[in-house]
Amino acid sequence: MIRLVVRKTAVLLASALAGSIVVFVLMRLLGGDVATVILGQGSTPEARDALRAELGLDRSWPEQYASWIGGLFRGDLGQSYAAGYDIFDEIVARLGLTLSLALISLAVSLLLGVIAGTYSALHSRDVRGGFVDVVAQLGIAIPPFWVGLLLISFVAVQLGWLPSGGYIPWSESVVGALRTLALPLVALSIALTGVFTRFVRSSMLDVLGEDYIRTAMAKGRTWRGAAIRHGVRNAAIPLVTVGTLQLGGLLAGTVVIESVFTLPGLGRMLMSAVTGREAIVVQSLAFVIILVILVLNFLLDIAYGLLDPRITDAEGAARA
Amino acid sequence: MQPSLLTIRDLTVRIGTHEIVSIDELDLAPGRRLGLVGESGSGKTMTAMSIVGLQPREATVTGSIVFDGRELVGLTDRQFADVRGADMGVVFQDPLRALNPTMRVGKQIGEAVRLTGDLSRAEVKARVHDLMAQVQLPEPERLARRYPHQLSGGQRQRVLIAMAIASRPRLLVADEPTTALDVTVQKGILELIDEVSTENDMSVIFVSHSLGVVRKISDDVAVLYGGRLVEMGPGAAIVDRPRHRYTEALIEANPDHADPEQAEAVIGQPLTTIPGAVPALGNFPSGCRFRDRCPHHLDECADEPPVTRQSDQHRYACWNPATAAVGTGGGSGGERDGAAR
Repeated sequence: MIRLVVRKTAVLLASALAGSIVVFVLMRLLGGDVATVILGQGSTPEARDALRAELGLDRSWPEQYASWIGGLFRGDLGQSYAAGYDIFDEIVARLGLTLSLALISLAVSLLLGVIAGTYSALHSRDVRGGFVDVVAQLGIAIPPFWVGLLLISFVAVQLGWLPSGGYIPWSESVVGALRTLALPLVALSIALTGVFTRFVRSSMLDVLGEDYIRTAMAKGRTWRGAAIRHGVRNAAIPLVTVGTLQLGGLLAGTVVIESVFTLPGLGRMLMSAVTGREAIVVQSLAFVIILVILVLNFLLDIAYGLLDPRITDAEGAARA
Repeated sequence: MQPSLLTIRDLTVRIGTHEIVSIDELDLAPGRRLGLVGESGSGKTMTAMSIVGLQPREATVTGSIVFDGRELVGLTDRQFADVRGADMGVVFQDPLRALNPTMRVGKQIGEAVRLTGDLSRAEVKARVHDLMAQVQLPEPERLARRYPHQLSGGQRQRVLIAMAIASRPRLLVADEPTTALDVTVQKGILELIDEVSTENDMSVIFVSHSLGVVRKISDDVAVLYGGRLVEMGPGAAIVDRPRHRYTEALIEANPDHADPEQAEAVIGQPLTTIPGAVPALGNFPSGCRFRDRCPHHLDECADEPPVTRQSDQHRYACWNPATAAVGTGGGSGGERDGAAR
């Protein structure tokens, strides 16, 4: 297990490094002159040169890269020239919201997916299993932003049960945070839950045919008891892989949902930075989002090792 | 005759419209061992599994299986699970697949122990170690924390046997327990099954495709073909004086039933095979299901063969039974051999 963690940590660090380089280089290749954007088309070349020197844009790429990464570590990325905020502080402030959305909806979808998928598999011969399957497919087919709009229109506006937008941070009020995040989380989680439900259903149906289910019955368990006691964990193992694959989509969905519910998260910051052509902000945000995905990936890899002892052993054997 | 532990009457197992097993009569006395023998597809495993209620979920079982005075056919899932937990143990064919890959073996044995009654954690642990010692697994403390893939094939099968005897069941069903194992450990597993069933005074149903193995471990032998019981009787009588033509063919095709002392007599002799193959489900002929492949078949074989009781225990269902002892050339006499094809 320790070996697995060490190895996956190394992979995480290497991927982060590669990610930062790719993001940096892509932003350079996109071109566009920040000085012109800030000073306007009518500015003098001298003024633009002076601004470039001030922003450090006249230096070589390696120098610029080093100062950017250094800034990330020091917590100083400078000011946004369009909006005037401190870039690093703004990212940290907004990260909590985006992470809350991503992590909670991932956890909730996994939990609901395992429960609904297991239920559906255990009732695969009757109408209940089919019903769950149809609902899950429907959930996958409906776009999150549309679910969001429906929720705003019915639950928030017509019924007035929950706010239609805005965010109260966890530090101010836990209940307030939950109330403001509830609808966005529902909108984000529906499709994901559908994917996980369908996956667990088929994985569970495979597992139900395994000999060890019969062995558990031989010990005196009922079919259902054996399926739950021995089936769920084994059926959940491949779910980790599917969860990993969903991460990119989840973060993308978060960006959209933040706009729908006017939530001050990283997604909306990214959108305004792109429109304002603030290269350093876009670049930093892209890297932070990559980091979030990498860390989640790392955690799922560790979960894989915890769920399946054979993985941990294979890691050990591969190293030996 | 002793009262039966297990009394089977008119048992049928169907999957969809296919009848997989159809057995008119089969009894097992307490403490006796019954061998179920047949080729792949003979229904031997299905028969054994239906007795312990572990047939596939799509299969339907009809007829009567009375176990220890209780009718098993028609029990609910819960009721049957309780019967198994208290009085039945099962050893499966492939121990790697029969064990949960993500649960420590100690915990899996512990589960079997816990399902036998209300025990404290310490009592369960003590009983697990006791069982592991009984099945001769070394260092129970250490081995109990292993996962199935970290054990050898023989050790895994010992774990399965430990689970099967956890409740000191009255009936132990062993479904080809040595088939998936290395030849070198097969003997040890057979001896262990022999030992634990004797110590705990269990009846045993032993499923195997090998008459040789079955004769060693069983008192009685039931030969199945196409889901039907073709011959049943004491092991020695079946192997030495088979009456049904299928049993006879099975013995001739299987030189390893012989004693090791006589093995040399077999070496160098061409092996006999049974012509043809077991037909696919639903393609068995009418009457005697073996008649297509039987070199001794008669016209009558198209009708359902009558059950002949040779003695109290020995019975068979054949129109043209063997008379000569095996190994004397067989298959000659007044039979219309040439009409087979």
